[in-house]
Amino acid sequence: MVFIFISLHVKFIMIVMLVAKPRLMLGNEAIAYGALASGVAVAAGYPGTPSTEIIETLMRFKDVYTEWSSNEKVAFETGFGAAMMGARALVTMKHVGMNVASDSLMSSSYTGVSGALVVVSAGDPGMWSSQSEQDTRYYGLMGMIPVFEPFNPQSAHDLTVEAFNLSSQVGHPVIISTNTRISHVRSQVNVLPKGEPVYGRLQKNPGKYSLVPEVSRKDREEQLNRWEKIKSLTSHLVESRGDGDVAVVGAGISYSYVLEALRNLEVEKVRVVGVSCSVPLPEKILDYLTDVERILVIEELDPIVENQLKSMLLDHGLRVKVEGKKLTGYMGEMTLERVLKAVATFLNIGIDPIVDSPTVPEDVPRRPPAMCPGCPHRSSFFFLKKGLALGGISSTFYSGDIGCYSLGVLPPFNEQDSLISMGSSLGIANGVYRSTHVIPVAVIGDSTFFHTGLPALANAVYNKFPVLVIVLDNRSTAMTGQQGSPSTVIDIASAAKGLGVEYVEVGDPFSPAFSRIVARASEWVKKNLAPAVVVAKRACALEVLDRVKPTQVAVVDYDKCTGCTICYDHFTCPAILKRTDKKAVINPEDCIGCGACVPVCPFNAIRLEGDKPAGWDEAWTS
Amino acid sequence: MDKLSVLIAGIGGQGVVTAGRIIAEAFGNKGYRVFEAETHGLSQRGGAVNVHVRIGNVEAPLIPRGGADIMIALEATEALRNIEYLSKSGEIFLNASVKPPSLPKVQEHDAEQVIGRLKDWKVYVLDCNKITGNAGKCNTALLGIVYQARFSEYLEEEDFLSLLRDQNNRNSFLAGVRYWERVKEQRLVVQK
Repeated sequence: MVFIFISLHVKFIMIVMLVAKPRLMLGNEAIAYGALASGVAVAAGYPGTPSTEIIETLMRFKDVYTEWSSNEKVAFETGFGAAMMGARALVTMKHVGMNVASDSLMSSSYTGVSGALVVVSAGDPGMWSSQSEQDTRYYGLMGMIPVFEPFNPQSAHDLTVEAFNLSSQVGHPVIISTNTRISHVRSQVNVLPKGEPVYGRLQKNPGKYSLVPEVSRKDREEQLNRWEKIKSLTSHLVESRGDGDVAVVGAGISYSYVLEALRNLEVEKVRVVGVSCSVPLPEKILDYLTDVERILVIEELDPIVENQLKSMLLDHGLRVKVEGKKLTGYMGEMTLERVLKAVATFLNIGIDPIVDSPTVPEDVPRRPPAMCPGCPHRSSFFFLKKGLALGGISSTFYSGDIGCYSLGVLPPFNEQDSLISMGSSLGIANGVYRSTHVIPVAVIGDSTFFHTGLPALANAVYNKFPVLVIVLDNRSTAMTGQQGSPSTVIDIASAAKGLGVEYVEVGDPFSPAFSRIVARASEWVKKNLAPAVVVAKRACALEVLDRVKPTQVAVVDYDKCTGCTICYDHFTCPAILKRTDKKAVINPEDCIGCGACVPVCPFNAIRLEGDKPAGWDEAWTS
Repeated sequence: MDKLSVLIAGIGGQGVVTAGRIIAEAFGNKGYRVFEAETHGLSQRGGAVNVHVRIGNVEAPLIPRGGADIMIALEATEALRNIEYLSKSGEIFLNASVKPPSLPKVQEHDAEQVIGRLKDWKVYVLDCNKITGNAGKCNTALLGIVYQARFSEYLEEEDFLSLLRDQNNRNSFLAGVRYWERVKEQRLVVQK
């Protein structure tokens, strides 16, 4: 009996330990677990680095409704609609996705919500994978929406729970502003147990949600009242450590850097203040700052906390010198050395030798990302150029768009003359044509086509815009890790025809016939001065490799290879290398046996060796 | 140990992120505080990739420039590209192979040129193909070497093996461990 009792007791302790043991996870997973603990029922997003893994994590939980929406605005409205019905909803996107969602986002701050609505915007300071590093927190200031800013994966989890609490308590949307070094950092996180999802029930309140002028004016007043309530409910999201005559304030991830920098510098007598609600900056911060002589604010990107603090001090008649962006600069990710330099200058002390780092030699060859072996975009760009020449469009403007095919900006292709924002290819091309009368080529991917390409294509038909539209349909949202795409359900050629495009043709970019399709479409556009759509349909190679493992490989016939350089200098598949005698050699470790290079060789010197596995060809076209 | 910063440099597709994740999990599972900063998205496809692993008494996810104790380079030119992160007393475990970028008309480089320019540091020049007999995974082979050389005072072999899923990876890791044992540290050091 005693033995059994002990073993049960030990088991119990072990269970407790299992539950309580922190787990190593990405910041994005921590946000997902925070949402699960808060009873999230509906979660929608559009994939975008570094936000993608939040929805991917939630998709493992079948009692939560999750979807990849066609764009961020639809995702936001999905969450907003659910929160109107009283549900707890999460919406995720990258920082620039907020621009797409912003129209409805601004309205949501007027109407408020009946359940809870939390929007995660994942920023990309340093622009690892984005067109800009815009500061999301301006949306909070602009729309009167609180912005929570985590400082590590654990705080990302905890602040997500706080965000759901605040949102449901006040009935107002809440933004979580994360970034690459929170979302894509793996660290120990203690997660709260999953809660029961809170779904909604049908409820109507047009006096709140139908924003005709009369309602808007009433909602505006209520929004301002809620804003005061939010200010009082977020006062605990600022903390202070240490004591001294000077203070260093760190917002979000900068707080982590400040803590470590002060430890490295071994300075004492500095008050450290951590801010995890950047908008509205809690007035409680003044409790920690009224008796200091000088303040340094450290935050990533723009002076959001710094400017609010300056205004707050002025309001209270306090004359304290505040420094910030002047010492840290605006651009790029916060780093320990940036903080060390700023703090050392602020405190007027010598800089730790750690900052004295070796410099990278200037002649290290750059290594930008490359299209994968077997990527259909490489073949599309290769045959597009040939096809345009055949079709008599020798000089054109390649209006590009956002996806893996953005890499077409690189040599040898140089087929992305501008690349602005999701779905911008057609609109920009229209302006190019209207101002120059040069027929442009718009290059857009399948997921981007459905994201924001459709209204621009409708405009092209409506305004009779002579453009050759190349839709690169690789059957997935590939750039962010092969999430699905509407193209697997909706046929792009049919969609284009439905919008009234008269000339639509579908081709296989691996085939030289693709250049003849491009040539025919080019001639049609020149003759009819209206839009034509060519769909380059072939699956993402990574998607194919997930389904079928190749058993064949491309090899070079050295009796035929002349060393003409076309395959490695003009096609640039990473698997094809240049030998010292200038002939090509194919690295069997990198080659996936796709055969895309076979028709590229003018001397028929490349062939596939070995039999293709069953289902290989189908995987590329399904 | 107060803190340890490990930078892993390589090319997207070489298993750079996986190697970083395994080190972080091995130390994390033993109760060390860890931060591992990964690079996802577009930047991983055939492009230059680095992963920062920080262990112990740390708060921030990124290694400061001049702050890495150990660099694991899966490709030689990537060691050079990331040299600003290495501390003056830092050491490099280098797979001495060079892969040209997928761009037209690239300048040819060889590993010896690159190694010559790393003369201010302790560099362990390694050959993944030799270590694994052309059959294994370079990232896990180097993990085996660095484990045996620098992590074994904190962790057990099993802490890593339990994280390696397939047999090929386990074999590569063990090949690295045995290789380090066999050749002895001094004979590998080519500089400093």
